Amino acid sequence: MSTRERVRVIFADVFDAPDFELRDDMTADDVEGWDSLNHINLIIAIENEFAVQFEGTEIAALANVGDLFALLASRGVTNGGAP
Amino acid sequence: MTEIAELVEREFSALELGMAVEEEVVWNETDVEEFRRTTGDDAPVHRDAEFAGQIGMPGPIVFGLLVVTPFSRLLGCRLPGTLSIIQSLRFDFVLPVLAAEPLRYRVEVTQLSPATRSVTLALTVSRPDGSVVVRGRAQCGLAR
Repeated sequence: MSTRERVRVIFADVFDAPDFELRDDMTADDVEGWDSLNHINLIIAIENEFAVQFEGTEIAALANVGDLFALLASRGVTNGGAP
Repeated sequence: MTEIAELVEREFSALELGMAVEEEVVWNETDVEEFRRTTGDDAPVHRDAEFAGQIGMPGPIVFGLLVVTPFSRLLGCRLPGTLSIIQSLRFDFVLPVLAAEPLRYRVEVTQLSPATRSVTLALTVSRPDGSVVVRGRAQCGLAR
């Protein structure tokens, strides 16, 4: 499963939307239920899925989903699915 | 009911994976009756042995939501402690609990997220023989 699909599945789980469609330009304003607690839930689930840890400043700087993939890439998690 | 033994003020930076606390609790019939009156849950499976047997229970079972109440104390007072608030809780009720059974409660840190200052903890309630009656997961946020 690709990194993008693994992240999509996390979003689908957090927002209880099995067919969740993930876009790079997506922000919290675009998703019903993307509140502060679900934001924390997303970050924790992504950290757990990819065995990475983020800094608070990195999370605060995320403008959209595309930035999240860039942050993952900075940890060595590329769209190919590793690690 | 166990008395509050300690109040632990622990900052996020002091948490470590694998850190754990345990305590033993025994529910008696008075606890069950008080919970019944507090909640208004008069379901016969909690008070009528014959009815409980008819639906496959070994006897009147302790309310599941009563069984998990010690986690409020364990999480809020001991681990993570007084600087934490519960963000989410999930429980699976694996086996029925009967009054007078000694139960072992355990809370263990399983994930730390510095970016969100949140901690994930595994929750278990088990019998003396080791069989798990409740398993769960808590996510708590820390103020600092």
